[in-house]
Parts: sequence; structure tokens; C-alpha cells
Amino acid sequence: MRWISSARVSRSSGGLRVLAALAFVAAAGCHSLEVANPNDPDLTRALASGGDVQNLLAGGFNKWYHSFADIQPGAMLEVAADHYESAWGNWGMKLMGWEPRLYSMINSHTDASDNFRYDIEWPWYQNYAAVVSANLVIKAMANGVKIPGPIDSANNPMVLAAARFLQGAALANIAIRYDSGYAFDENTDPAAIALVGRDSVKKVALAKLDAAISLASGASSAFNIPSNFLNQTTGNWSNTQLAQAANTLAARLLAYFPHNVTENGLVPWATVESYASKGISSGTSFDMRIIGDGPGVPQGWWNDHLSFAGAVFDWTRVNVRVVCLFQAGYNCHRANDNTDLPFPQSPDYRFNGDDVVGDNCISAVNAAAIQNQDPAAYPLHCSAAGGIGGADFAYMPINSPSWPGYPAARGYWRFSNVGYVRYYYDGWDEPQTTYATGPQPFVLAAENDLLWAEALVMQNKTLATAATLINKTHNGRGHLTDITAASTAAQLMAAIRYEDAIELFSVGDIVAWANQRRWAANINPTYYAGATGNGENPQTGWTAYGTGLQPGSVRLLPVPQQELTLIAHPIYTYGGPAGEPPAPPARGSGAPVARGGTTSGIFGTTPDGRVITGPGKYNQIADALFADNMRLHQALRRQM
Amino acid sequence: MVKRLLFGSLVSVGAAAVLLAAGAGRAEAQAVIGGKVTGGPDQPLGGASVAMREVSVRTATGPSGTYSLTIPQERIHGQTVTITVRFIGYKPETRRITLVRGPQVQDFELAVDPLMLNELVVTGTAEATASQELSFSVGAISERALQDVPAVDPIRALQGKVAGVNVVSATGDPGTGTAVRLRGATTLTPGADQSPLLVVDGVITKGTLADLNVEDIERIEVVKGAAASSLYGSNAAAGVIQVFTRRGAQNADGVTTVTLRNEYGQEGMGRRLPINHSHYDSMIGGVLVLKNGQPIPNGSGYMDEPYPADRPWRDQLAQVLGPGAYHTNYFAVGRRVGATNLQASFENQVNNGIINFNHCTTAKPPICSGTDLGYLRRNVRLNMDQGISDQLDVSVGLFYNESHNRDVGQTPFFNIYFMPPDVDLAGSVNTNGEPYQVNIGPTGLAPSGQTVNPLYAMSHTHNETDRTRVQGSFRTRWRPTSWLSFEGSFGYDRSQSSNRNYTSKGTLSFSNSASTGSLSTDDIFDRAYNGQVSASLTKAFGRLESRLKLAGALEDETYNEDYQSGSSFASLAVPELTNVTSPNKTVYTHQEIQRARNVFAVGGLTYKNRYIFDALIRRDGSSLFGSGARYHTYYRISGAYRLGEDFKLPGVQELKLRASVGTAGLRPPYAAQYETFTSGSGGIAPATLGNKALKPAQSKETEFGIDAAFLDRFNIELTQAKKVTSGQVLPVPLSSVAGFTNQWRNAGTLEGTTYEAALGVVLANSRSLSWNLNVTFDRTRMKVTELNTIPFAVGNGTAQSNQIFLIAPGVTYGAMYGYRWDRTRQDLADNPANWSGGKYGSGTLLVDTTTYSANEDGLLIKSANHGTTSEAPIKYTTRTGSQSYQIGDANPNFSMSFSTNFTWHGFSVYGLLDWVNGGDIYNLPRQWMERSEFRSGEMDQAPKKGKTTAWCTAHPNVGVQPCSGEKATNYFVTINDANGFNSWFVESGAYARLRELSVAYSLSPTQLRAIGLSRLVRNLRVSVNGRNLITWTKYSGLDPDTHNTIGGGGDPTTFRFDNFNYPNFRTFSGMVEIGF
Repeated sequence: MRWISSARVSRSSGGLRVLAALAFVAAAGCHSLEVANPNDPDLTRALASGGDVQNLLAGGFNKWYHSFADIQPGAMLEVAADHYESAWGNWGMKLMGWEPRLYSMINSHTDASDNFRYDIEWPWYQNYAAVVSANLVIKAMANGVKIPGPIDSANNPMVLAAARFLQGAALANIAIRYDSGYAFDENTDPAAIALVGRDSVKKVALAKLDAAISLASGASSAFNIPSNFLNQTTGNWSNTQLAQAANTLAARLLAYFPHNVTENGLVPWATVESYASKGISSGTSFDMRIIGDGPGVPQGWWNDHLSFAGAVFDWTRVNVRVVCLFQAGYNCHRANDNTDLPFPQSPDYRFNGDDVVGDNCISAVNAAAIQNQDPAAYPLHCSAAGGIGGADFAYMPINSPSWPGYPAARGYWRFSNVGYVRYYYDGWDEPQTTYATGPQPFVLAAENDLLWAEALVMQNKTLATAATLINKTHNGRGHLTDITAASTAAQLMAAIRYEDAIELFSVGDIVAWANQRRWAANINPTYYAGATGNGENPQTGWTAYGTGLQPGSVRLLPVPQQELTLIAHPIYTYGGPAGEPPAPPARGSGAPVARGGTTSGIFGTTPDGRVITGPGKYNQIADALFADNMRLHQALRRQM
Repeated sequence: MVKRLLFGSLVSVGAAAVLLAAGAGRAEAQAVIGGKVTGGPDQPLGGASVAMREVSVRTATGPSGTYSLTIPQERIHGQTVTITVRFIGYKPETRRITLVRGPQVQDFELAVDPLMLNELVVTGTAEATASQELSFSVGAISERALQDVPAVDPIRALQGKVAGVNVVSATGDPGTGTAVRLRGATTLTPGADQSPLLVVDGVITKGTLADLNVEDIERIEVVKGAAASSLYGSNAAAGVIQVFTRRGAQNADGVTTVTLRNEYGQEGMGRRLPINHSHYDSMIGGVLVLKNGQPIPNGSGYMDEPYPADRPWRDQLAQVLGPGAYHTNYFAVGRRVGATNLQASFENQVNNGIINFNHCTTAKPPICSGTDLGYLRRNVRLNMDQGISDQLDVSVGLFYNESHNRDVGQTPFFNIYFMPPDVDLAGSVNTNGEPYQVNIGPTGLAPSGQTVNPLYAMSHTHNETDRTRVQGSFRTRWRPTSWLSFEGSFGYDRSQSSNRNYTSKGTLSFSNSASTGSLSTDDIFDRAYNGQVSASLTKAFGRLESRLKLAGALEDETYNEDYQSGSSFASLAVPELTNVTSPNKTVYTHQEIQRARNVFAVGGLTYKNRYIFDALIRRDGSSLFGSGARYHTYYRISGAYRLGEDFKLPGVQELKLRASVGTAGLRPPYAAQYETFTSGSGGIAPATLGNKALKPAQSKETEFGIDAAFLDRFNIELTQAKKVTSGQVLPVPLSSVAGFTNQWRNAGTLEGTTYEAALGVVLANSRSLSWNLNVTFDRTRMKVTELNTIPFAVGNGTAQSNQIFLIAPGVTYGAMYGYRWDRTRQDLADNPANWSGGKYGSGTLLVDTTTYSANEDGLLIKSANHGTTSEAPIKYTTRTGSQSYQIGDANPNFSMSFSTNFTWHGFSVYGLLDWVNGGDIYNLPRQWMERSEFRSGEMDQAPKKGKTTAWCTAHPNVGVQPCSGEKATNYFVTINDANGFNSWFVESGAYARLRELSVAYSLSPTQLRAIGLSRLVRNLRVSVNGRNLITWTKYSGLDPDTHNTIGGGGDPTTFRFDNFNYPNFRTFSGMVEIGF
């Protein structure tokens, strides 16, 4: 090698050196183009172990839970059931609560009006996500994945039982709400999955719940479901409780399935009794509930019904038809103005009592916040001292600085003097607008009691037992004494309806709607003469809650437009004057049946009159689904 | 890694300095060519560049225009060489001489180039190319156009200056970024904007350019689409904007220039909203009657009563808005000595904006938003070029920015729309004694809604963002021979931002309950670098000039975000998260890493200086592409024919036809390719199905154009560009049975055609008088032509995802979809529900349409309801049963701008007028104002009171009174339709705006001498400037230049949607510039 002079270097190869140095620096910084996503796990990382497979089931429970614990479509259905009232245009509440029921739901993936999109889509996708997670878990276990844990031998039966429970619970939600659905499990050939009538979905759901009951009841050793399935801190469901919960959900499915009076007559009440008698109020009674995880990351557990829908008094209030129930002969019939109605004199401690302790009344802080506005004029029947009084309901002015009322132009019939405060503190952490911590129920033991009692009454047998079941809350919390062992079936049924309206208020998103659609034929009030367009107010013919839906109310949800478009099915909807759905349809695979209600525009109409439709039966999605499932399975096999 | 890179750069700079010192003593001239460069008699041109390419020597003229080139002995062979002399604003001149030992004198007198045909362009080309020799369109903005009225950031500086460039200040909030779209839209990806690739001095920038100051900018080049931008590959389908900052290279040799510029001004809002001045409440004796603390409607249903004397109507906007200060201080030093030039600058900017909240509050700790509200920026820049030898030079640049942006935390531009018109926002105190009653209403009580007093909200929340930005660039060129050169460059962009959003403990909610306080902090750190090595070959073969560039490039970016929030402070006055109990804390971290490796070759041939051919090919690999589709290829082929060179037409200086076709890409969003499961306290759940085959969207653009210059006065550029962007990266929904909610796929095509015209006219051009006029025009039409997914709507990104702009096959991009109202009886009859058979035309028509007629607003109503509280319009339903209808189109018919520079002796005027013709805006604030608060100006019925309209004359039999045309509140509530999008709130967004105006006076050297400053001061210029001075529009909102906010879920450059935005405002200022 020959050294060259520095001057030469600077003249001729200095540039080369600088370039070489630059290239070196660049090469040193040269990383691979393969970059892992550090933020969310992919399949491999998500299901890397049996423990993760179990967490997939936990995720499924969370999806299932939020399918009914979120604001949509519960708020809309409660308003349609004349249980809540609200004037706001969110989530369809304004239009579905209109009197008379002039409007149909807009089954559109793109039309933002009143956001029916979320009402219709939310339970659908949440519940099917839960079903798919449960299916994957069962497949993984079939492939030999072991779920680790301190009681390893018991964990696999636990996971299998819980997965069956989830399959059944999620499909039950679909069957109660929608007119059609997919009924499939881990063994179904994806190519054979097609829309079927809700009856078929119900059957599969019931079979899965039965399987869960069998697995949980027959477990060789006792188990508890993991705490993250329902975010429990203590008292996670035991195998016995899982079986009880499955029994209650089966009873609910059968009882809430009818979408009109006729179908209600076809309910197998003996079966309902059988399920309910083994439900969550049998044996050691418990409420089905989650523990809210507060404002911390990632807020996986909360309950909108106990917050938005139940406890924000300028958002929703208790429908005046429910208020009618509090006092016999009380004239809750509002004039066409915003005057405050008189204070109802109710013997029910849940409205009027002061002495029942421990039922989660509004906190002292927030009770004071309400009371301080004008305690003399608007007495609250919740003890201010200690905040543990007896009221579930509170009388409050229609308009106040704290709780401004609705716009009058949206109809005076919405104006109510009663708010619901039972879960005020649990549900909503004012004024931080964050979700609170603490126990938040979604099915009360009382609901199981009432289903059990109803099954007995409908069979006209052991009415004294029914009276006892009803009185657990009727007398136990309400201090009402009108139901005795000697009460007639009609008296018992009236009490059941009363308790459904009062005791179950705000817990569960479909109880009121499901009951109203099956209990009675339509109520059909008349309206103030000349009042068309905005501001109608019933004049006569309206009755208290429990006497049926108003004509044109939504009785079933349609399959969401997005799903229909994916399978090239015509779009349809329900609600409004023409929106009465017929009997539950028997739907064959792929047989398009357009029916009921007004057919909403698909995606719009261009200025030249062209109707914008979807891309036809686009779905390589199906292909992708198959391929993906195969891949999932292979990955799961590797866990063996 | 960062340290390593920085160290490498420092070593290189250090080495350059050593080499410079070593070479200093070796200047031994064998041939010395010298002379003088002038721009006319007695007009020396200092700072002109003089180059002799064949022997790789170059220099710049001194202040007297003189230059000297020294060529070493060993390079002299008696060969013929070319001297090229260039100076901005003048036509370059070349002269061929024989290189011999000894001195030679070569003087040059350059001719003025008022049409700027010879300015050099480097963006998208193999090497610097005169614009007249380009085969595609590149927009260029010169220093003059940028500096008369310096914009607050580089993107805003483009506004109205280049055809086909759509600059959108979606929000006037100081310190926020500005969106820009070049020609038509490129991407359909939800949430993506249409931003082009932004390059500053070779640094591919990330994030906002709002941190850069315009005073440093020497030139901006705009490459508008794939026909030209293919050189930048998979990230350039939306075009490229390249910014060049001053480097001192324009200085005369040996001269140091010092510039001090101070601008002081005031900002304010010129427009007001039409607000209801009337009410419909019961009054007795001139006093409102209250029930339950609220006014009682008087039963008429018509808001036509003036507010009583004790509660007069108020201009509440004036209580929230007010003048803000605007000032910039700029200091720059430039110097050039031989092969060294440098420029250093400092800028300080204060931009308060128009929210006037100059009060201290009782919040703990006190929030004293006042003079420090708004955006404060400090920038330092240092650029240096150093010739190390004749073959080797090095350029470095360093930019440091620090900004502080403080605003009120909760924008008043929502709440202010809902305040009852008669309340004094500052008039009542709260129950806790604090000022600005939180739930102020008509009687000191609540309005019928839940909007808090904006003054209260402003006084208890604040939001601060601190950003620092470091950009570094390094470039070296080595020219071992006259035809071969190598270049290496490295760019570094680091930004760090820290946001704190604070609500004080004790802040009252609307219901008067005291907040426990909250704080969130969001820290974002982004580090990106890009590097490139290239070899360029240029060689002339007779009259054929050829050029070729081969290059390899890499990009690497790491983005980290840490977010923390907490609520419920334990202690009153400690706004830190340590003061929050643990269950109330939220933590979030996020990281994104992106890498790219690219190679390309670009070359061209020019024959006889008139037949121009250009081609390139580029292959890109990116970590953002699916692993099964890692590399993609792009190309460009273009050609031009300078017709005017072959056919000498009288008076025609240039006539060129050009055509170009090219492809470029759009990289998918970071997470799109990945299969993801969500994980959290709710367990694991499938979310997005991965896609290993995910490709970048591919844009193919075909461009045709004609450039002409004639009569030495006119320069015109006409371009038609058609852009087809296929393989749009979209989240495609999956069936519910999939479990995963969606998969990102290449699933659509967006097409757009743009017509552009740019006209430059030299109205006068003499030493004492010059007057130029520039006009730009563009018209763009865009349509989605293919969509392999379900049509979807995107839009304003507000709560509940209300969306209005429909993405569907065959639908104009930017079309608004919603309801419209029946206007004719046939409209009513179109509705299938009005037919007994349930289908249009089947059975009988159930409605007697003759009982309906169009009212004064042109909306069909039931005639009998006219003049009653039941008068209500009807939603239109098409014959196919659809209610969703195209109700507007945000795309303007065309946009034009007119700018002029007039200079007469020392006096000069510069003005820029923008004209947007057509295009709709959705006025959401107006709709909300009709929701329930009754505040919209169109609800004020007092002007109609007591009148009789033609409707009554035309409908004598209806006989309903009043016939004044007054509309009841219910009528508007029906139209409001719970804020469902409908045609009533679609307004024309046409406007003309005087964007920039400057009247300036520069003192001549004679005048400076006369006042005794000539020894001290090189030049002195004073000016009065205005920005957004006057707007002519029929749009009823605060600002017709309103768009969906950036990051709000849509494309701010297309979606004209008034979303309660911070409006753009006007600024008046005075500026003094002193050169030393």
C-alpha cells in the first residue's frame, strides 16, 4: 500500500471520504423494514399462551356486557317503552319517543340523523364478537390448549362452561332484540352461516345456556370464574352461580322473546318456571353485576344505564306514565304546558319513604347538590344526612338552574317531575363526567323473582309462592302491603308489572321494552286537536305504564344495514305508522325478504336520480374469514 | 443512534473546517478571468454567481459587480470553456472562451428577466433546471412574493400564489398548522388529510410547519402531483413542497448584510353573526313574567318582541373577542467571502389571536390569561455553505425553534352561540362569589340547554403547548470531473411537544357542583431522519445534453407519545398529577416506527435546447407496506417541445408544449397492515384483521401544458392534470361472523381533473416604475369511481360521529348528503309512502297535493297551516324511498387570485386578492342555534311583523292570519331536525378576500444620505400591512374560509364544514426594516 499525501487527499478523494463517512452513518442507521407493532398484540402475541386464550374469553365477556350496558340502543328502547323520557336527539330518543309514533328507525350506515346507526349496530356487533371469541376459545381447547392456573385441572371445565355461557348469553341478546340473526357455534362451517329467523337463534342460544348449566352443575370440582370476566374484586361467580346466571338468562330469553301479546300466550311458562326456580334468586340469591373500574385506563367496565340514562336529570327523566303508578288516582296527565305537576303521595318507600337503609340512594354530596336548589319547594325523599335514605325516585322541578328542562317545542308530554336517583352515585361521578367505581348491577335477583312469579301466575299455580316472590321487593323495599298469599292472579300480575316498572328501573336495557311489547295490546291516546307537527301532547286515552307500546313503536330491531349490504340483502327497518313487524319470520339462507316499515334509502340519491347502493354481494370478506379462521386454528394448534 | 448521527455530522463539519484551512495557502493562479457584471449602465450586480463548469470553479461578484476566477495551472489545456453568469431577476448569460494562462477580462451586462423564465428549479428534477426547460409544471414562489407581507407560516405563504394550491386555515387559532392540498384530493383514507410531502432544505419534515418563520425563506417550489413528484416515490402522490431558506449566497462577495425587521400590529374579528334580537315571552309592564324562574312563552309562537329596556340585546361576541397583539422581530446576518457563505437569523413572534380574556380569576392557582394568551415563537437558524476545494463543498444548516401556545382551554366558539341574547356574560357572580355566572340565563337563570358561560369556562381552564423543534441538514457535493458528481445529504427533524390541559379544582359545572379539578399532559417526541447518496452525470454530446442521476435514500422515524391524565385533586392549588389519588389517573403510551429504503434513477436528454425528454424509475420499500408487498415501483416519463425555438413568432419569447405522466404513492397509516387485538382491563378481543398484502395507494397523473411568454410582458402557463389514485387504503368492514371488525384493504379509486392557469403580466418595467400583475386560476373536479367496500360517510368529527360527506362510487368527492325539504307538490307525490300501493305510482295517491303550497321560503307546507304554529316543512323522499340526498357540494366552481406589485421610486404597493367562486359550506352553528336556544338571526320575526306577503295574495281562500310571513319557533325547530343534516343549512361559501396588502416606502441611498444615515444604514423600508383585511361573502357564519378542523376526522382541504371553528381574523400592522 502506498500512502498518498494529505494534499492529494483533500483535492481528489476528500469528497469520497466525506461521502463514505455519510454512507457509513447511513448504514449504521439502517434497520430492517420489518417493524413490529408495539401498541396492540397481533394473533401470535394475543394467544401466546393458555392464559391469553382465557383472556380472549374475558374480552368476549366484556363485549357481551357492553352490548346491553351501553347507552345504545337501551336509551331509545326505554323511551319507546314509555319508561324513560327524553327530548334529546341522541341515539334516537327524540324520534322514538315521539307521540304519536310518527317515525321509523333509519337503518343506515351513513345517515347520521338521530344516530339510529349505533342503536341498530351496537348489540349486533358486540354480541357476535362475543360469540366469535367464545367459539375460538372452545376450538383452542379442543385443539389441546391448556389453561394454566392454580387449579389447572378445574380451569378447563371452567373456561368451557363460561364459553358456553357466553355463546348462549350473546345469542339470547340477538334473539330478543332482532328479527333475524346468525345462529352458529364453533362447529359451524363458515360457508353455511346465513341469516335465520329469530326463533332459530333462540333455539341455539337456549341449547348453549343448557350446556353451560350442565357443565357448571356437573363440574367435578368447584370453580370460580376469573375476576376479569366481569371485573369482580371479590365474590366471582362460582360454578353454582354460573349455572344460576345461565338459568336466569334462559328464563329471560323465553319470557322476553315474544314481540306481541299473541306470542306471549305461547311462552312455555313451565319451562320459564323451571329455569327461574334455579336462577340467581334461588338458593343463595345474588345480583348479576360488574364493578366499575372508574376513570382509569382503559375504562373497560362501566354502565351507561346507571349513569346517562338513570341519573342525569336534564338528560332523561322518569316517564309520567310511570309516575302515574305511584298514587292511585293521581292525575299525571299533563296540560299542554310546562307547569310542575303536584307531588304524588305514594305509599311506596322507594318514592316516598325515608327509612330503608342500604339501597344505594344518592350520595350525601349529590343529594345536597340537588336539595340546595330549593329544598323547601322540592323536597327530596332521600335522607340528606348520610345519604342513605330510601328513595329510588326523587321529585324535582321541571326547570331549575341545575336541571334545565327540555325545549318546549319538542313536546310537553316529555316533561316529568320525577328523576331516578337509586344509582346516581354508582353510575355517574358528577361533575367529572367519568365513570364511577363500585358495584353496578345489570340483572337483579328481583328480576328473576318476578319472572318466576309471572311463570307461576301464568300457569295459575302456587300463587302464594308468587306472592312471596313479589313481596321480596314489593313489601321488602317498597313497604307495600297490597299483596298477600290470598291475592288473585290478576292482582299478582298487576303487582309484577308494578315491580317491573319500579324495582327494575334502569337495570338492563330491554326489560321495559320487552315487557311492554308482550304484555298488552297497543295503547292509542288521542292528541290535542290541531296539534300536528311539533308539540303534540296526548289529550285523552293514555294510561299508566304497563299497558303496552304505542302504535308504531319499534318492536324488533332490523339487521343492520352494514351487515345486509355485505350479504347483498335489501335494507329494511321498523317503527313508524307502517312499522309493525309481522310474526317472527322464518328466514332461509340467503332468501331476501324485504318487509315492514318504510324502506330507508340505501346510501343516498345523486342529483341525477341515481340511487347509491353498496357494491353488491361484495364479500371476499367471507373468503378472508375462512382463511383467517384457518390461520387462527393453526396458531392455536401450536399452543398444544 | 441520534447521538451517533449527530456526532457523525459534527465530525464531518469539523473535517471540512480543517480542510479549508489547509487549502487556503495553495491559491496559485495560472489563469485569472475577471470582469464586471452589471444589470445596465451604472448598475453593478453584487452577488451574481459566475461559474465555469468544465473546470469546476465558481465565485460571486463583489458589491461593485466585479469578480475574479482563478484556474490552476494543471487544468489549463487551451480548451474551450463556458462562463455562466446568473443573478436573480435577470436572464443568465453564457459565454464560451478559450482557457489560457494569464489574465482575461470578461464583462457581462445581464438583461432583466421580468417574466422569471430562467429561474432554476430543483424539485423533482435530476439537476437544477431553468423553468423554461422543464417538461412538467413546478410552481415557484420567489422571495419577493414571500416577504412583502410575511405570512405567519410557510404554508400560509403559499395562499393565492400558485395555481392549483389550495391552502386552508381550518382554524385561525394561532400556532396551529395549516392544511394544503395540491390539485385534487389524493387520499380517501378516513382521517387523512391531503398534505403533500414537505421538505425544508432537504429535510423531510414531520409534523407542522407552523413553527417555521417565513422571513428566512428564499424560495418555495411546489410540485403538484405524480406527473412531477414521482421522484419522491411512495410518499409523494399528494405532491411535494420544498422550502429553501436563505444561505447568504445572494450576498455580494465580501459583504456582510444585517437585516433588522420589526412588525407590530393588532388582530381583530371583522365579522359578526346574525343574532336574534327578539323573543316571544310574556311581558307585563315591559318586564318579563317568570314562572319557575323561567320566562313564559306568550303563546304566539313568534319571536317578534324586542327585549325590554332593562334587558337589552347585547353583542356578547364583543365580550369574548377583542384585539390581540401581533408582532415579529427579525434579525439576520448574512455574509459571503469567497467560497464561504453563511446566514444566521433570529425571529421572535407574538401572535395573541382574537380571544380577549384579560382578567385574572379566583381559580387556584389563578388563571391570568391576558397578554400571554396565544402563540409565542422564537426561532434561530444558521446556514453555512463552504467550498472546501474546487471539487468539494459542504453545506450545513441548523434550525432551532421554541414555541409556547397558550389558549383558554375551552374554546368560546361553541358556548357563545347559545347564550341568551340579552344576558351580560360578565354581569352576574356565582354562588361561590366567583365572577361570570356559570349558568347564566335570561333572568340570571339557565338557558334551555347546558352551555356554560364562555367567560366562566375560559377563566377556569387553560391549555398550554410547548414545542421545540430541531432541524439539521448536511450536504456535501464532490465533483471529481466536470461531468460526474456525487452528493450525500442527511436531514434530521426532531420535534418535542408537551401539552398541559388544566381545569382548576372548584370549577363549577352547569349545575353548580364544584369540580375536583383535572389535568392532562401529553408529551410527543418525534424523531425523523432521511439520508441520500447520489451520483449525477451530465454530459453534452454536440447539441445533445444528457443528464443522469442515480440515488439511494433512506428514511427512519420514531414517534413516541406519553399521555397522562388525572382528576380529583387532593389539594386545591397543586395542579400536578402527584396531587391526584391513584384510581383517578389515566396513562397511555404509544409508539410508531417507520422506515423506508428507496433507490431511483432519473435522467433526461435535451436536444438543441428545445426537445426535452425526461424519465425516472424509483423503487421504494417501506415498513408501512404489508410484509407481502414490501417494495413498489414508480416511474415518470415526460417530454417538452419548445416550439418557439423552431418557429420564431414575432413577439413570442417562449412557446412550449409539455406532457408528463408519472406515478407516486401514498403510504398506508401506521397500524393498517397489522392484525390487532385490543387488550385492556376488559380482556383481549379481535379488532383489525391484518393484511400482509396491503400496498400503498398509487396515484397516476397525466399532465399536459402550454407555457408561453410574449411581448416581453406576458407569461402564461396552462395545465390540465388528471390524477387517478387507485388502491385507496380503506378500513373495510367485515361481517359480524368474522369477529374482527374490519380489515384495511386497497379498495377504491379517486379521480380528479384540474385545470390551472397562471398569468403574469408586466405592466411597467423601468428603473423608476415597475408594476406586475399575477393571476392564478384553478378548477378541480373529483369523483370516487370505484369502491370495493360499503359506501361510508366522513365529515366533521364531532360528537357521535355525525358525518355528511359521502364516499360512494360515482359520487363527487366533497358532496354533502342529508335531507332536503319538499319544495313542490310533485316532491310530495314522489314519496312512495303517499301511495296506497306503497310504491310511487301504484294505486292511488293518498295525499291531496293541492292542499299544499310553497311558502315564502320556497318550502312546501300544508296551506291551511300557513301562519300557524303548525306550519312545517316536509322531508323529501325520492320515488325509490330514499331520504338521503345530495344537498351540497363543497367544491368551488373555481378559485382565482390576483396579486400585484407596484413600485414607483421608493413607493410600493403589494396586494393579494383571493376569490373562491361557489362551493357550499354546511353551517352547523346556525343549525345548533335553532335547536332550542332561539338565537339564530333568521328566527327573528320582528322585521316581518305587520306586513303582508305575496303568499296571502296568491292564496285568498286560505285566509289564515297573520300573512306577514312570520314563522313560528316550531317551524325552525322542525328545520333544525335535532341537528340532522339537511339542505336548509347548506350555504354558498363563495367569497372574495383581500388577503394581503402592503403599502411601503423604501428610502433611496440619496435620501439616506440626505438624512445622514447612509453610513450607518444600507436600506430602510417602512410599510403598513394588512392580512385578511376585507371579506366579501354571503355566508352567514363568522368565516367563509372555514373547514373541518385538522385532525377532526376528515379532509380539511375539501370538507367545508363550519364546525364552531376559531375563525380566521384580520391583522393590521406596521413594519420597519433596516438593513445595515
